[in-house]
Amino acid sequence: MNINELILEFIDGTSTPEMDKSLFEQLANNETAQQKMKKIIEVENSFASNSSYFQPSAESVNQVFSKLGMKKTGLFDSFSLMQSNFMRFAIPSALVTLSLVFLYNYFFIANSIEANLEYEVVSLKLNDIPEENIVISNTRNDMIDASNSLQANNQANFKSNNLKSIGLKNIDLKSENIQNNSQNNIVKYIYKDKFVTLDEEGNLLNFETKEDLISYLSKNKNNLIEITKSDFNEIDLVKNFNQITPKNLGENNSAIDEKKLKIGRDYKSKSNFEFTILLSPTFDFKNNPIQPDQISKFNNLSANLIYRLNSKLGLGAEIQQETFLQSFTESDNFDRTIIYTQRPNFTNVGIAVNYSLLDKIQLYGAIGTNTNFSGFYNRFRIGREINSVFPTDFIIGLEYSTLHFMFNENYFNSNKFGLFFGAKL
Amino acid sequence: MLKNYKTYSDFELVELIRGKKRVSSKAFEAIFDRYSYNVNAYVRTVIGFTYDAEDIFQETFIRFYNNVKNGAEITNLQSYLIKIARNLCLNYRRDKKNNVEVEEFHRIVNEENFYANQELLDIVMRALDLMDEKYKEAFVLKKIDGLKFEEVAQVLDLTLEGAKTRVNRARIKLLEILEPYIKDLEFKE
Repeated sequence: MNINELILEFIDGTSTPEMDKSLFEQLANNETAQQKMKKIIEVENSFASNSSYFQPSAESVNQVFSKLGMKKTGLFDSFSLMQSNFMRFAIPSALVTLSLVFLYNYFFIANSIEANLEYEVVSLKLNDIPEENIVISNTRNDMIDASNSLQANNQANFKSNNLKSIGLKNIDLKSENIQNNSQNNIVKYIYKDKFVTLDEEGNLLNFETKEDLISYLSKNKNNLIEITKSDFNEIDLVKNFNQITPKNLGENNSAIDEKKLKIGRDYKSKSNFEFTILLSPTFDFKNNPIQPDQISKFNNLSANLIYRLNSKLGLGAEIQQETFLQSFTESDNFDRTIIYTQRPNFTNVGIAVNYSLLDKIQLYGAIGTNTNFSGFYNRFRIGREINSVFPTDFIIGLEYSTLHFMFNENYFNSNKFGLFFGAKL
Repeated sequence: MLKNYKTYSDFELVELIRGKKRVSSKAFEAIFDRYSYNVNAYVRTVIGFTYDAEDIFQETFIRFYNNVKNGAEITNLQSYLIKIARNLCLNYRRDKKNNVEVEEFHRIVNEENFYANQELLDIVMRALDLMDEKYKEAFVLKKIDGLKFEEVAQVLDLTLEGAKTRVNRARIKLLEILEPYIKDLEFKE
């Protein structure tokens, strides 16, 4: 048996002890034999070390299954790869939900806001203003009472100017409280603990105390104009009083062009429950060769229900339909490494914690179980609340999630980092 | 409950293919995942990286599926698949001749500077093209598809000893072609 045959038998593992002995003796004394063995191994290993070299193309794979009337699902059973109804309708359902939140707010919440609503309005009238007739109100009920005490024409102005701008519809003015043409009443509302009014040129004046305001009003009563809540919504928006430019300082003094107003207000719900709908877009730039048609690029949707334990801390539950990029590596019988990557859908249910870090900054944490497989997930979010005219706050921020689960006795561990946004009621 | 078809034996999967459509589809997919690389390796090596090779690869699995559905008896699944691929390759190459000569190979490898820039596997694949069909396919069946000598013999209709001889001759011939280009290769520890 020549050296070539001895080497091949040895490499194949079919050599006898005698062959091995003969081979080793020749290798020990023969540089050429050593080189030959190295080269044979090098050549034959070139196949094993290039596991993707003969991998069929994705197009070819799809062709096979297509011609047989089948669909390739890959590593996971088709059950987990099917686009769930929840995901398929994620965006439409989010829009419907937001619409319902909007309508619910408009018809129910806005008409039932009571003591927690902080008004930000100064409403002043001309003419004589006895100090005892200046009314300071912090709540809606106070304002209603104050408006009822106004004389008729002022009350009408009050209603048209104020109720419209704060989105309230059903304040019924009590006729028995309407008084004669006394123009002595003045209603004042505190704007963020400050006492404010406008001077004759429309500049907003800011007083530290009620007494300072009254003193100013007494001295300048002939020059005062009426301003409405609308003005202060604008003030709230621009955050800089000097930027306000009243349009009309005449008798029908609508100080600000209402078409330009953007109304905002602080709102504190009476309920301790908060309901949040969030979308977490996932953009997958990786071309997945296994099942590209099953990859959804925008399909993460979650719902949170939080119970507020106090002003800072909330505890509740979340459910989220989402995807995680899975990568699975295995070796075949020839030690070739095969890597599968897919983005299957998961539905996760867990406990959620919410902490209000600063005025508008919200932290969310969640831990729970995966309902598709044996596994668990955890998630951290940090977001910025954006208050709207309605009790629905919007929130946008960043999230980091991890998912761990077992499938077919293989352990999967994946994580993702991304953007989230949504609405909170 | 999800079923892991990857754990089923070849025999079980073939029997499942004969069953209902959904199960049949899953079983076929498991077989495809298990052997598509080997079939593709054989076809690519024998035919080359061409569209025709893609067609043969696809046709192999379609014929296999239809044969199983029609009641074909299969004792060794991998050999069976390779046999189908081999028959398709033989039909395809019946009227074709390998025009690549050894001198042409050396010229291509030298001109394209394969040694410096390309994977060794590319050179090996080109070298395989220089070999007779019988040696080429013996090599790919044994060294790329990983068949046992008994299975190589079954596919090629040879005796066990004949298969072994052919495979080893192929290996030596391949080495002879490649030797000038791998003499400086370092042996990886």
